[in-house]
Amino acid sequence: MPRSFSLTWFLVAVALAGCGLPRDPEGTLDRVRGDTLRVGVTEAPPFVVRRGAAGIPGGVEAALVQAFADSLGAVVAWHWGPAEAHFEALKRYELDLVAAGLTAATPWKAHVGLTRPYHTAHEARGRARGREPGRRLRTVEHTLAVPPGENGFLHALEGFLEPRRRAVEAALVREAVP
Amino acid sequence: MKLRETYALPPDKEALLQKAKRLEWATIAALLSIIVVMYLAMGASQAMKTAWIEDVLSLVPPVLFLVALRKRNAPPSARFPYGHRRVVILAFLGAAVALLLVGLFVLYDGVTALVSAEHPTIGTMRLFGHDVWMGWVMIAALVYSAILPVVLGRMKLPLAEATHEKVLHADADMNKADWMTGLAAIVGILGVGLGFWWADAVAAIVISLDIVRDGFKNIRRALGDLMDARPTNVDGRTMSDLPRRLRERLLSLDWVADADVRLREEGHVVSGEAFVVPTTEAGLVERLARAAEDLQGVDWRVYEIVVVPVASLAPQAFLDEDETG
Repeated sequence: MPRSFSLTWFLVAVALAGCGLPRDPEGTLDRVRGDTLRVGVTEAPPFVVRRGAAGIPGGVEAALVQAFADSLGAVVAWHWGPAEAHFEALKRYELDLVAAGLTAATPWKAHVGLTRPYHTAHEARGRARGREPGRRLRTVEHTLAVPPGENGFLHALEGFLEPRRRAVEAALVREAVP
Repeated sequence: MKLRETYALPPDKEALLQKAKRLEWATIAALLSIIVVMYLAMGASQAMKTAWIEDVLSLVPPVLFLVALRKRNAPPSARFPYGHRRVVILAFLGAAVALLLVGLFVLYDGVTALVSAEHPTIGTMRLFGHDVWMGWVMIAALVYSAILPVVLGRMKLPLAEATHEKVLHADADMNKADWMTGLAAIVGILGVGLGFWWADAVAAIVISLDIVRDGFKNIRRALGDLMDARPTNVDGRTMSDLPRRLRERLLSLDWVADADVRLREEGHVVSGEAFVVPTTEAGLVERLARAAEDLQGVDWRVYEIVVVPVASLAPQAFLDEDETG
């Protein structure tokens, strides 16, 4: 059937052209590379902590973001503020990334892009009510937020985070020890 | 009340109907697997969501067909002296209305996504140790969802024509067109991959327009049958040649001066009245009974035609058989 042949060739052509996919509608990855990564940060120890009077960001997420910027040859412009203001800025493409100790359960997930969890924790349930901890576990998935639909940038960030899962785990264990 | 005879399908048609039944079961199984695969791959894409909803909706005609086959053969009773054959049309109308409403709903969803410039976020997933863009996974799911229904639709279409099952025909029609839905969604997702955020919403709108169109088309068909429209062929558009053939059969009788019929469809069967102007009144009761038997032999679709003697046939109206309704 000639139609299915042409469809096959169409798909092959797409697959070949598709090696560079996905790309960003708003060009975030291209703009950040070799330039500035605009990051919104909100205190959420041990993921994001504020250090010293100058307010230098520390913690697991700040370290990851700094390393990601380095991999793109970019400098980080940190912006402290409440998470809600950061999300609004993300939606307007005025920030490139938000690190605020977010979990995959955030209600903002419908409005911004979230990375695949870079760390999955199992927390004891019912601790808040003073029950015996550690019996039943609750899964908490930690994630970073990116502007909506910037799939190329998200792809690059997720590719960067994946091999660092072990290092993140180790760092979190270190921070938990007083 | 006087009850109708119970209709029985000729054995060759019955065999085809059993085959159609098996194909509809296969369709349901195939659709369920597609619905699961599509759901797992759906993500944040509006086009995927709309294509998934269309896949769920395509479950309705085969389920309807199988349920109707069970119900419609219930014999005529004191409460339903005409039998239960039209239950199929009623169910068909209900399904068509549901199709239209869901279509309008997802159309609204797609337009909203386009107007508010929602940029669909499609991330990556870990697959066999590689980071794979979810868009590729979605496309693979869409290709899977397009192939099976097209094959099944092509197999069902000739059966629907042979058994004159309109629900089966509508179902096969929808299946056959399913690859276009898949292709629209694939183009939408590739568009997003290339950096055109609007491609997803546009693809969703195209698919929902197709659902709306199917809804309208099926409502028109069902309403035609409920309004006792003139019998059509199984496609629901072209006119059946049954009225002409029945009239010619009556005109060929030597005691008939003039004759005509008035017919309606009850699912795949046809019923109605035949009016004859007799040349003589001698032995009329017997002749009328024999004429009714003759008419039943003209076509397997003829269920019950009441033959009535009249003095004149006026008023009469004719439609060309190649005319479309």
